Amino acid sequence: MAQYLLKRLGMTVAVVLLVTLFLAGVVHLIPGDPVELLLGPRATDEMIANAREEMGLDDPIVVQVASFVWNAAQGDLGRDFATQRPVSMLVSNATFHTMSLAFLSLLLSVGLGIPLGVLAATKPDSLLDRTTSVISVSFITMPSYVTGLFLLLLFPIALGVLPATGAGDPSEPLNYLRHLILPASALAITWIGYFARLVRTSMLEVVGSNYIRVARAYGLRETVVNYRYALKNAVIPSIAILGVALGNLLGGSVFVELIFARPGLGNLALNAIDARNFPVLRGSILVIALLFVVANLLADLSYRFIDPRIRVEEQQT
Amino acid sequence: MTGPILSVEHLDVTYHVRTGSLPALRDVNFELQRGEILGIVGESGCGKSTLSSAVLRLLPANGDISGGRIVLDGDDLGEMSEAELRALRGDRIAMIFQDPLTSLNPTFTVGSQLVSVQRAHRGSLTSGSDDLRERAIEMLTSVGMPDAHERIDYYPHQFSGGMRQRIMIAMALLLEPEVLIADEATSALDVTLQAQILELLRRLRSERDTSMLFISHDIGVISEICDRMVVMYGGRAVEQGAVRDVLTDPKHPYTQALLGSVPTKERRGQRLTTIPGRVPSLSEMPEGCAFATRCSHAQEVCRDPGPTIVSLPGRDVRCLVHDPDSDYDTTAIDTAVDPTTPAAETGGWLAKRRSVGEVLVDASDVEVHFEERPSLTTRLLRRPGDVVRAVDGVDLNIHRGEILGLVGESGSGKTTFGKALLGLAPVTGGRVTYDGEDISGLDQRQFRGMRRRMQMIFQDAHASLSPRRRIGQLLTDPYIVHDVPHQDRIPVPELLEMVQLAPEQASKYPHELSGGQARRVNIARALALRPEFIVADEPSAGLDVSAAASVLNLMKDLAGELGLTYLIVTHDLNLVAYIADRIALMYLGRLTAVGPTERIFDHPAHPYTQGLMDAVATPDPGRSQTPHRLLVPGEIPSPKNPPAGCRFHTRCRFARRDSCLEEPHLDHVDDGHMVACHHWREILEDPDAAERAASPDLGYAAEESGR
Amino acid sequence: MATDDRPQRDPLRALRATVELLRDIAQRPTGLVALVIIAGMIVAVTVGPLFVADPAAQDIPRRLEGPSLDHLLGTDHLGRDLLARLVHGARIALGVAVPSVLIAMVIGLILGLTAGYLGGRMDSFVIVVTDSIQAFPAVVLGLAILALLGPSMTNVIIVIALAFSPGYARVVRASVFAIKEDEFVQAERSLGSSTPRILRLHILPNVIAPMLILMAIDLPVAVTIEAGLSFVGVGVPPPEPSWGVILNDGFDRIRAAPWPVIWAALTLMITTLGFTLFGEALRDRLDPRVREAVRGDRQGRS
Repeated sequence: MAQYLLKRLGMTVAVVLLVTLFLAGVVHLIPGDPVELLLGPRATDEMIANAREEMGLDDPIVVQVASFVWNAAQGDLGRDFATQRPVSMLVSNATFHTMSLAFLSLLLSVGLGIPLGVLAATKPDSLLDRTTSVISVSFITMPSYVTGLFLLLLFPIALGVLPATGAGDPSEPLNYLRHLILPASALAITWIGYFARLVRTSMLEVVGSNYIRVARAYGLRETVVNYRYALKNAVIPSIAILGVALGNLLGGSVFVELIFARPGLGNLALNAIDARNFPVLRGSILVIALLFVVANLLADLSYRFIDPRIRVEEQQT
Repeated sequence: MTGPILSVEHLDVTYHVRTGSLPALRDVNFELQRGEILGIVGESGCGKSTLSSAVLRLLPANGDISGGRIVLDGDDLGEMSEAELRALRGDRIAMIFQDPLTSLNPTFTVGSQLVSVQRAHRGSLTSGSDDLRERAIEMLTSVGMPDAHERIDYYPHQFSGGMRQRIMIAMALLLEPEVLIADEATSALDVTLQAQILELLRRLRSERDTSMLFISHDIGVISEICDRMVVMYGGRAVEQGAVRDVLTDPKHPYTQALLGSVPTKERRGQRLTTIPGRVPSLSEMPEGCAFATRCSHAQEVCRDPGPTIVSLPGRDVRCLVHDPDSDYDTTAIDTAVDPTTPAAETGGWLAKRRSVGEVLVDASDVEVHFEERPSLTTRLLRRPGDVVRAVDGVDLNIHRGEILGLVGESGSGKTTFGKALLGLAPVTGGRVTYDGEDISGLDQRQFRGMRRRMQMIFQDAHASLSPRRRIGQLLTDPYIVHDVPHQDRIPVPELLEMVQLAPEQASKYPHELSGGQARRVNIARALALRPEFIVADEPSAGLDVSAAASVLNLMKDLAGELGLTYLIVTHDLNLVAYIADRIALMYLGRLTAVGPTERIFDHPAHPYTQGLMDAVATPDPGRSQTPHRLLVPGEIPSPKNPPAGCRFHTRCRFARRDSCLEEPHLDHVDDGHMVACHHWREILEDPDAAERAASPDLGYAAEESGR
Repeated sequence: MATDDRPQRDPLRALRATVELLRDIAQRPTGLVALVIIAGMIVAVTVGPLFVADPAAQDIPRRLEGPSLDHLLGTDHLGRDLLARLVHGARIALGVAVPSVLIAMVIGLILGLTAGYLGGRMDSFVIVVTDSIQAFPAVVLGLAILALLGPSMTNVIIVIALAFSPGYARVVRASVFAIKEDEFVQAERSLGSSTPRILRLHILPNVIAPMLILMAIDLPVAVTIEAGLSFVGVGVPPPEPSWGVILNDGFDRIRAAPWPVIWAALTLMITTLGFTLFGEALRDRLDPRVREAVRGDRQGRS
């Protein structure tokens, strides 16, 4: 395990480094004058000077990249073009809102998706199973912004319940949660469908496996067979994709934050694009990528922890 | 306490599918006596597995018992409620399944699974979990697991296949069941492991008097362990009786053919019996005798509904031939085709095989070492990766026109050696010459010219045919690859005819063929370029006995007609005893013995040879039932880290600290018989030495400790 | 017996196989739904524009109207006909999704084949690159690049292709690794076939099925990414009638006039549902494991 951990951490560091390098050098990767790329054709001289100074565009590229990576490693993501505030401050505020959104929606996806899948698998091909399968496939195909817009139209606008905009006050948990519920549901819908389907498939696979047959042949109680033996094996694939799910939720949060006007990373990035405020855009994207990479790492590790087969394989190699 | 412990009375099992009802079992009738081991034998599709599921009342959802009764010690299983059945399973009837690798839950420790089974039946009222755990450790120890108190907390995948099957047996015996069902319990194991497990079951029977239903497709294994046997065909029990009687005098034409198609040493020089056609699928099962469509004795009356069981002294047979009241005309039996006396080889096959020519393939000190792909960390730390010594110094000559059998357990490196001769595995040391030319240094392109002269028949007949190409394309590919002009090609229909396939097969895809047909296509492909030398890897693997027999007949015929040289790579000692002129035995990348087949069999001089010969299960009434005395204990070590000195010493009963830590070399015994053992003289001079050297419980001492 | 040893070539075989495939898909209700939706899409993309109004024609006085006989689905904030814009939007949706998936497939195929067949350093290189691309959620990667490249249809295609290509590279690489281990590749080598011949005749055909399945599954995802990026203002720029642009325009006035958002959202929903169902039906049909299971069932059990 230690060796695997080392390897996996090394991989993660390499990817993070590459991602940071990419974001540091992206203005130079794309053909054209970096300043014009950053600020567009209508920039004032003052803005240009400001950008050159802030981004160190007059330095050699290597220096620019190295200093960004070095500063980023110390938590300094540069300064906002417009207000000169440190980007790290803007980003850290937004990160809280985005993470709470992503985690609540992940919780909803897992908490609703897995039971739904188990329910469908208990009686394959029954009416219940068919209904569940239609629901999950339509959920899977719903883009988060479509769901978000429908939820917005239905609850705050048509019914006048639940807040339409903002993140609420974090110091008042109930108020914060009320603001979170619609955006989180909008994001979760796809993954509820996905987990339901995945769990159904792996559950059916496990139930047909040899060791379940053996458990029955040895007179183990059906509840033990289904919920202790089968479920534990059937959720393993779901855990394996938790990281991917979180990344996808983070991506979708861009849309949902726009729709519900939440001051999260996605909205921060979008506003930065509108205002041609590159340091803020770069900072927020870097944080999203980091969150995703770390989430993948954690999912991978927990998956390996739950499945003893992989745990030991890794020990040996 | 008399009467049978289990009786299956006129059992019918039906599967319901969309297209209708399929009769899986029809009128199956037998009794298992107390303390008896009853064998159920039959080819795939005969209903053996349905039978074992039915006895536990665990048929798939679409199957049900549509007639007859199953009675366990006076209790009718058909009248039991689901709760009563659950209480019975594992407690009164326990089952050992075929595949030890998938039979245990991968995410729970062995201990917790063994405790769950006890708890399901004994509850926690009578005993605390410490007692249940103690009981599990005790059982694991008694089936031969060393350090059971420690390894009980391992997960299943940390054990080898053989050890997992022992765990399954421990689970089965936990609650001291009245009946033990072993469903293909040894089929997935290597010969030496199979012998160990059979020995274990035999010991348990004598210690505990457990009654056992032993289900297998392998008539050899059945005859090793069972007292009586039931032969199944097409969902019906066609013959039953004492094992010795059935083997010496099979009454049913199917039993006769089945026995006649097993290759053995005794059948050298004879043709194997083959059964025409295939087992009919359940949907086309005939009303009358299920075997009538393939039976050489079949007459019109055989197709009528029936036949019923005919009771002869000590024997039940379901065949009209033996029913004096039937309309069957016994005078019409054509004795010429009686399968009990297999036809002698036509065309003086054996004589031809004697005219062996000069050395064709000369392997000297061949090594095939694979470096396991080093992981990133090992590369960063500049540590060398593991080296797998698949073949580690093999000297072997193959003479033009001979059939050489290369035998070993899985992991012995035999297949890799065969591939190395053909340039399909890298020769990392030593030299291979073919017809005097050094071929070990050739790269893929230089080798291409040689490919026309040497070919391989791969183990998995289906997997070795490119799945999206038609048979016709597959058979012309060799010519396109080698730019063979049209006039030199053998037309596809002719190639198909050579391997006894119909020309229509050319337009089919590989997955549309049966295992036997796919194997024939492989053979035809190998022959297309008219090679001299063929390496055949497990030519009978995955085939039913009868299909295997006809492939072996075909290979022999072609050897005679085309003057081919074969290297037959196999784990099956019976097969080489039947077909090979010479035999080479391989263990962990090294040869342990080489010699003419008769010499090897009549005077085995290597302990490993002795062990393999003792382990092999042969349907030979003469030797059956004798306990294994020369059992090879433990399992084959990893080729990554072979034992020092003589590689076999960790499993050898002659191993001695002073001599065996030194590597033995192939010594010439006599008449081309070579042995790599320091003690071969003792072994040959004193045939009983091996027995004396055998300590009774050695079998478990050297067991490989986990993976 | 003719000596022609080539199996009969049937010029119509591909066509007939396709028809048979579609018929199989239509057998199940979900497959039928998928085919109907896709047929609708095809009609919209090909002849649809002939039957609707000019999507750019403004009629400011009649802006933000609900459905009426003149404008079946109503009008947007500039009085443009929503039905016309949605129908023309289908061209943009597919005009982005199809090329980006194709490009991703080609890039992935090349990377995957080389990585899988050559292994070693090449393989490690491909892995690190694909891992890094996949460290960004696709939408976020799109934001980062489009912010600099500027919004345009071509740039959206580039971004989606870039974000999708690692998926193809991985599928191809994995299948090549699996197939390389298969005995038939060894068998071909033992026959003397050259590496290019093995790749072309024996590996490629077996990689195509998983690629097709992945493409079918990716197509609706590409449609939603394009519309999403356009919705947040970095994708296809207005006044192009991209579905995302319609959503964006409508979102600004959602309380006053919900129609534009509702219609565009419904269109997106139905389209992705149709393509996803199709992709799944295709997978079930082409995936040999599923087919094996069906065949096994047909043979009955023992």
